[in-house]
Amino acid sequence: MDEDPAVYDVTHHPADDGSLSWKFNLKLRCATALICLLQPVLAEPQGASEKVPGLFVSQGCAACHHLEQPGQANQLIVGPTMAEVGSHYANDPKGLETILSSLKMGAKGKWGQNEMPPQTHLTKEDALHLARWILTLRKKEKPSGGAKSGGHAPEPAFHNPLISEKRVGTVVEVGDAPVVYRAYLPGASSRAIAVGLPQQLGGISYAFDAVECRLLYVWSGGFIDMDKAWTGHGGWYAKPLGAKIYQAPSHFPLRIGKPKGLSEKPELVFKGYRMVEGQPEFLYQVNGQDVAHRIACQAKPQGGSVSITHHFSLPGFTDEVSFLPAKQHVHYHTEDATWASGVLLVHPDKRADFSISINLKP
Amino acid sequence: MKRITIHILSYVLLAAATLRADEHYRVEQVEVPQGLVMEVSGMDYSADGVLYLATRRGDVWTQKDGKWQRFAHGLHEPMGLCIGNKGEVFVSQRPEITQLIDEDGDGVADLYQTISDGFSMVPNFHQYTYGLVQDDAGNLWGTLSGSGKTNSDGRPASADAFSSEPYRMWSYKVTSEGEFVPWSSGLRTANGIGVNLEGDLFAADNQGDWVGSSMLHHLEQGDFHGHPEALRWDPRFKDRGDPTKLPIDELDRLRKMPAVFLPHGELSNSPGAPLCDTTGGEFGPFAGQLFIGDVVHATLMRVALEKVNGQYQGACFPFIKGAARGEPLKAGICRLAFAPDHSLMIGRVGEGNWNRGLPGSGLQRVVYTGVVPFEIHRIELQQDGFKLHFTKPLNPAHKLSPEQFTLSSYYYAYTPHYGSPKMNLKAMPVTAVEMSADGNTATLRVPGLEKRKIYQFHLNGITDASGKGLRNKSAYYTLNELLLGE
Repeated sequence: MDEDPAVYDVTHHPADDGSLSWKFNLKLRCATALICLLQPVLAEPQGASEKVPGLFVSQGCAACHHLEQPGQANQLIVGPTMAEVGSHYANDPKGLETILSSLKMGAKGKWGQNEMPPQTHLTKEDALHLARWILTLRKKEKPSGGAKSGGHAPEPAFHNPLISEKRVGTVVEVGDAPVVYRAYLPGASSRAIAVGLPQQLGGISYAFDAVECRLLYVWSGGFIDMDKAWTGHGGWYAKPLGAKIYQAPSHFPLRIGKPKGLSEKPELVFKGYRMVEGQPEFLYQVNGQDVAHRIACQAKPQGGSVSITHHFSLPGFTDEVSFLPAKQHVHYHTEDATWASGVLLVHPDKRADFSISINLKP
Repeated sequence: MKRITIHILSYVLLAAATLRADEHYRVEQVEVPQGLVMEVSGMDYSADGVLYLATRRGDVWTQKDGKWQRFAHGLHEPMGLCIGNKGEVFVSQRPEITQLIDEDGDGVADLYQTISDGFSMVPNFHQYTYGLVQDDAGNLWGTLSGSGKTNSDGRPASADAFSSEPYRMWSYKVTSEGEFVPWSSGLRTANGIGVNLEGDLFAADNQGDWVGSSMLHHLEQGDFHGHPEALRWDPRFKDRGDPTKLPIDELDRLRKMPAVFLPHGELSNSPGAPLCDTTGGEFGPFAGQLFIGDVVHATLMRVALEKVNGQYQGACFPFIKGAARGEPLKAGICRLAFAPDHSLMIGRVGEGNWNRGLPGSGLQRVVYTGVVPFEIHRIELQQDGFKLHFTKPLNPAHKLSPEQFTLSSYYYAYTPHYGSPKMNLKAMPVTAVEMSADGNTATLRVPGLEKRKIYQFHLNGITDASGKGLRNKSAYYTLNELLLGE
């Protein structure tokens, strides 16, 4: 799944290995600011339930319809809001009939292309009750500025002392400890992990793929917006916030035995991760051999240099171990391996524990 | 006079629709950490009485003696949690089944160990990985939800479910060695899983396409529960083309009927995970029966099963609907767990349809006061009728008459369409009724019972020895199998 629906463009271009061609996306920055302002309350809007007749919820209407336009553009709506329908048919003498017909027979095309199935479980009385109620609803005038969102008060930025990170609506901000969030991430397989580091550890974030068992990319400027994964039925992409500063090459870099080049696909099995001083150490198997992999990222402020250090532990290894670099020129630094035929060959006495750093100049 | 009649009539209708606040069970609000969205999606207790609670936002919390601590974070929308036989903490999150291990004993998990990810997944709003229970042999069990049709931006496009890759819409077993075993197929979106005292597995599917009403399934290996999308990954259907285009009567013959229908609208809309009453009577007279909550309705249901011709079937009853002693019961009920003090903890994931801006999430609990409620305990099929077992003896001074038992039958249509009305709804005359000598049962004679029907009961004017009426007067018996003659 390389489809990338997020504003933040992280699709991989071959020429981008290790380069810094990623641009900070202004649109994203604006959207983020807006979301912070408009975030509706997701739990327990006081009093909201009293205004909603029980049938709207109990008969499943709420599965596809909101009452009013939610403040956040990305909230999931299948059908029109009840207020839209009410306003639309307010002065239509056939309004009641039309709504009743849609309930009974289903409808399509009146409000976009999504199909509403016939609501066969509704009794005639309930359908009439609902239709009459819908006709009493009206769209609210759009507020002239100010953060008003579908009648809900904005969710306050709340920092619960029981958790280190701050959640501002769906935006997650790293606090004084690293955080590891599994989510659908753009440019990753469906099993992906976002890691956010606190300022004292570099303050940047990276994505790790739990299928390909490798670093995907690094970004700086913010952590993630969980977006629709938290505000709807769930299950859509989280958005990395900020600017991408490194895109890893698209291959798994470790080789065991004589390296056969990029065409060789080692067998990879993801085994999870262990939190070591708050940071994840990724655990996986390469051709049946256990590997523990830590990633340290450092970025100097104001667009200074970036260094990414991979630390691998392969306890009890006797086979040759090598690291395949990117095709493009990237500055590698290691004291544990030497160049041999275009790969970094790990010294035999360092196989159990070795580090390889990448330094990116701005 | 007319006005009074109307008044009385509306009172009677109201009484039939809701359970009264009562002296038997009390609902209480349970405090959760403030300022966080606590959409409960998994819940269990450890042997030493610690509540483990997973939320849709990826946290796992522990609570003991009122003290909350975050045990794990950053899981990908976990929809199940169970404490294993050896105290292990297992979660089912979207990408995998994971064990959370606190290696240094500080109350926070250090190791997030992948137990199994042997199923396919793609980014799709509806690909929930539901769970989770463990059996005595150490196998973990759960179900994989169907995918939802989406627009290009991931928004839901319709309520139809489909099985985009293996093994969506199947139940699964994960062995103690981590092997992923697809178990039974045809579940649209069975939110959670439970196990009864006999160790049999149950999951409640949600009304929708091919699912006429919400229903509780007994999951056995190889079962087909009715949604044909899942058959794409059944080797028996490899050469049959699009399984949703198979003749409906063939699919209908192939499917295993649900053990119990949870009538849509009246009791259920979006049921959560079933929980067996393992309190041995400490939670009232329903030991061994199943409780199920509903995400949309503020309803707790009770299910009493029996086996007929080797297959589970039985009755479901309203247990608490909205009103209760203490706090009103709230909707959003997704997960249940019995606390060490035998109260029933209720995990709310958010009313309506997950967190669609409707209230609310968090915890409530139901406490048994110790006053035995007068209820239909269970319904036992007879060759020519039903035997109703009560929790207390019937009033010996009152002779029962058939008119006190209003019975009707119907079925839900099996079609690709979303849901079904009650089909062929008709009154079923009760021709005779007999009370047992001890007053504990009433046997109804009902000629003309048919397979694959739901029998809806309403009892009028039934009282116990103290003259008190039934706490709840209605029941729904799902009849799949008739008793074979002698």
